[in-house]
Amino acid sequence: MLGDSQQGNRGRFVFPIIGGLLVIIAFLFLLSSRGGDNGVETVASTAAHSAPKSPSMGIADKIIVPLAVMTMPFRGVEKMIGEGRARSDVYAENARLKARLSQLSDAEMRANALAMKIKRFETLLSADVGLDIPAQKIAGRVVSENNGPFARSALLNVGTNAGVRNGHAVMTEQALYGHIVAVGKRSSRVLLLEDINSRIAVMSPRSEARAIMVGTNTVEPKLLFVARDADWKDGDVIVTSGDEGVLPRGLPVGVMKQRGADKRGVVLSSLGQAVDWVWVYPFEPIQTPEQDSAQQDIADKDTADENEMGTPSGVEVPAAVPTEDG
Amino acid sequence: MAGSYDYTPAPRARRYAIIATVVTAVLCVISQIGMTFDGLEFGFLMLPTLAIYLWPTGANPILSVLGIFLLGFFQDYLSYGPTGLWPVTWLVLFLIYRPDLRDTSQFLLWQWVGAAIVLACVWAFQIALAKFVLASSVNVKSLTLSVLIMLVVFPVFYLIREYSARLFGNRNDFYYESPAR
Repeated sequence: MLGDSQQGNRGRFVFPIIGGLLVIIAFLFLLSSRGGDNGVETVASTAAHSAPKSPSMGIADKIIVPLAVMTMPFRGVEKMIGEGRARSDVYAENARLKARLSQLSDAEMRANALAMKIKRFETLLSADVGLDIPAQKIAGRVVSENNGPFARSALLNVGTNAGVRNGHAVMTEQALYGHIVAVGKRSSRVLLLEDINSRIAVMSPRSEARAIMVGTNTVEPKLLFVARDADWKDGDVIVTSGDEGVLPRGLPVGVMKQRGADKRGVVLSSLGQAVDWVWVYPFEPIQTPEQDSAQQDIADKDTADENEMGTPSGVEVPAAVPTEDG
Repeated sequence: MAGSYDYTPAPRARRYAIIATVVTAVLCVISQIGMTFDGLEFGFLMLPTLAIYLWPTGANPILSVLGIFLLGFFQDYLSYGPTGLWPVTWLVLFLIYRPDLRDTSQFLLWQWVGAAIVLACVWAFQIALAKFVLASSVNVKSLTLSVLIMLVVFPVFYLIREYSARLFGNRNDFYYESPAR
């Protein structure tokens, strides 16, 4: 008992000292993630420091399965309530969809005609101006969506094993959902468009006006860096511009909402329904000339190393082909 | 006031701290679950805060404070929030609302009021941190909603905790052991 008491007295003094020190350490960490560019995740920056497998996703890889199981009932409830709501206005929805379908069949006909025309021009000019949007997609399930007060992200159940890489665009059935910021073997983290650190280059297909869509941690991101003469109108459809060279151009994002003289919000098309399955678009980002040449140097060095080490046994070296010069 | 340090045998105190840390780690994972209805986001982000509030008073304080420090970073990692936010919040809460000064009343309503006060303080503290330290905007609606949800689920959480404490040992094991008892 005396030993416990002595330990207790010691603990009474040590506890506040250790506690205080730990608070200071944690506070320093907090200061390091303060504002500025520290936490800002533009798709370009994400892709720039993209590693095939982020080591920080190791824990996420391990918790992904229990988390997926735990979220199942919640996703079920979410879906059930959503479907119940949809059922209540099924007739109005049906009429609206029929009207939309007749509009779209006309649009589809025009799009097919235009595609044929473009293909013909491409053949004539020997140029390939095909769509940026990749045809191949990776399906993934949103295991947990963190719509917290400080960050908005989601965890997917696909990682490097399915070909997911940092910077890849993630789409719901309707529109852009976010982009990949960390990848593990079996999991990946998506930074949602609403997150305060999200920066996406967008444009209006109508006027081709450009802007940067910045997350605000609320359901409505805002448009910043808008040129003075840019032609933005309330209700303009917003798509990705692909200007950062990482996301493909033309992915639907939402609709612009004028909120004041110089304030422009974005009503995201991916919001409003439960997100369960998503598509990851494996778009290969355009590399800067520096990165490109660096990769070329590495490839050259590898080839040189192989040559220095000699030819592996069993491999026939082709005889030197004499040139015209001798 | 004599602290719990004087009366809880060291091996048992260490065990309480480890159990509480492991349980809170599991709660951190559960707290990542969220649902969205009509644009309103319902989440359990504050669930581990309740565990800090009901931290065993007989737990070894040094181990507890180290465990809470690590748990905070774990929560930051899982929620992809600013690094340091949760450790600062939980450590400040733990140091101010010291285990040896806690009320060990079993009366649910009293504990509920206590939880409401603590959650309100955490709410204000996090908004202040976001505004003055992080210089970033915080979704107050989402934060308020997670506090309200925790107040609603608190009785269930409290009863589960009480029941587990009884199931896995003496009920008093998870509380301050006064020689008067």
